[in-house]
Amino acid sequence: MVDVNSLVDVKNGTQAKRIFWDADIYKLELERIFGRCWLFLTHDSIIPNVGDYTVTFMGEDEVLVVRQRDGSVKAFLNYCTHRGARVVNAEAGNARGFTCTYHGWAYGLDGALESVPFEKEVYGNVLKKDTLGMKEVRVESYKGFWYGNFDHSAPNLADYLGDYRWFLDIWMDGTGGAELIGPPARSILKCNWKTPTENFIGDAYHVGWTHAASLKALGGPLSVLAGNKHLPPEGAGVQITSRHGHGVGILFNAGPALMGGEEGAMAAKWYAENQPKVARRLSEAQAKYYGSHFNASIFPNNSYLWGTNTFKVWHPRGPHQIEVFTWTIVEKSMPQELKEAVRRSMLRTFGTGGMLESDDSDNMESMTNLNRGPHIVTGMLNSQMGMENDHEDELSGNVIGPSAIGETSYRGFYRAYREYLKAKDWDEIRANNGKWKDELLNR
Amino acid sequence: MEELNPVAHEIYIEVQQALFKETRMLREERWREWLETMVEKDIVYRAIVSQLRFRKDNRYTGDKDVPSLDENWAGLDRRVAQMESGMQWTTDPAERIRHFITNLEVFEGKNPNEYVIYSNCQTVRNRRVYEEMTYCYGRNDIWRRGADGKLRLARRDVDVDERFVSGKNHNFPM
Repeated sequence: MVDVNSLVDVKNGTQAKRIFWDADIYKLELERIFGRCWLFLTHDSIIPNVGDYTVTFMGEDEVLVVRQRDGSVKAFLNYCTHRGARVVNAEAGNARGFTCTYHGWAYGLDGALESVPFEKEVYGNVLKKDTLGMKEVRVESYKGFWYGNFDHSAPNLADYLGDYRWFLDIWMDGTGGAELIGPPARSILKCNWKTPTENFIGDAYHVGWTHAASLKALGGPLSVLAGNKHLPPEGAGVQITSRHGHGVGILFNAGPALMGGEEGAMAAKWYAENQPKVARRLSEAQAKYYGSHFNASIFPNNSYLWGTNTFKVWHPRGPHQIEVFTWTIVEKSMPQELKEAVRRSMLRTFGTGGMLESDDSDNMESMTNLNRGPHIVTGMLNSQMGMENDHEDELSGNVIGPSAIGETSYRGFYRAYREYLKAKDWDEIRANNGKWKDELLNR
Repeated sequence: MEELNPVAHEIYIEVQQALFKETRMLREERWREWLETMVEKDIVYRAIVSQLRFRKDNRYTGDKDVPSLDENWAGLDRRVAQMESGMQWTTDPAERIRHFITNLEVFEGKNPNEYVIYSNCQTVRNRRVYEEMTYCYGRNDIWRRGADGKLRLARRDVDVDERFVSGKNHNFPM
């Protein structure tokens, strides 16, 4: 039995090293986090037409996501209800139905079991086909981004995102919507799934040091941080954490981030021109952040960088390994030339051949693998930076750390992490809705 | 596919030697020299992984190519600058990268001074104490002969066999 209280000390901003290594904790995570949180599946732009499908994961479970005849989207566990073989072996495509490779049981786009070879002859009247459809998973979309959830008592997706939407909308909706450029690149990293999530959610601290060489070489607004020569000036950014653990770090007016030269100028111009549009669609306050650089994660394993335009899911594969899915994100209304520039820049920085991606993965793997030592895995990790400055953000309803560099979003992520692991169901989590900020603000 | 004309034996050997020299230069971390002396300014340098699709599926409109490198000369220059910065701790201690190039075919290109070169490559990359990674891919190159008579890389399309990247990343000279 895992003693969850010993794993995270929210008030003190520390976490047990065991959460990055122990198999029994991982098992609990699959049940209580991946079994009840909204997990990213795909985007409208990947499956636009009736019969379009894509295969992905929810935790360790393989999932088939299908565009239905009425335009809606359904998702199913990708196995045959007969003997459990995989139904779809392609990663994406367009189909009129799905046939298992083992005995040829055939399912419709809606997952219903439609036909069984020689049914009359071999089964007679035994088979209750209407109870043997592919097992369906609950799905919902926010601004065209589809997420799945195994728990029917979970809040709807919009409520799960909650006040975090204030920041999400800036790029997901500000100029009329965002889209993913696929298919996803896929890579294996030998690290725990929380390590990249926490890095993306709130680590502006490592940028100037881990990525010193890349920043120096690339140019763009972030390059001044190279080699820790400068801290971002006071008032250069904020960090945010929200009710369900989603977080974002914002570096003001650094949107093109790692795009130098002509491409960087083209991106900066786009942000400047569209700021008034964002103000009209959303609010003046939100438009202020449009054109800034966002580093962020949606709890539990979906990270993105807005400005560097990468969108990632860290699928867990046991406690010591992940499979990374990486897409480029662009605003739908960007001109094609800018979309291309953004895509190339994303590949150069955070793609599978990316200069910064390979910096990060080296740290992430050692942070996991060293824990095999019984003395190394003992003890706590520290995320106390900026603790005394966190306060409520009245504008958005979240908790805010008023500096570009700090660990507010780490603390919020692990607060939510402990809450999920402790709670036996969503009712228990809902009961904390009014008091989730208390420990973070030490009150 | 249009028919390509194989080159004469002495040119085949010349191209082969250029490819071998290139890999040795990269193995010896002479990246700047490689970029300045062996790469054309209008270089297109791409590496593509392919998404898995059913053979008969011709209705799906999504792209099948999954690029992991899509560089021009300026992008390669930045990657070289990263290595030259003296701050790149991920290759300190140094990585060791050894290319094996085989199944070499050399044809006359569309332009009289260009050659189309097909090859199969296996690259073994060692870093840190325990990490040994192997990458298997094909390369379609175009090399161009300059006014000085030297061959330079004008285009490289790397076709990676593995659908996912098991060896961490493609951030190395392919």
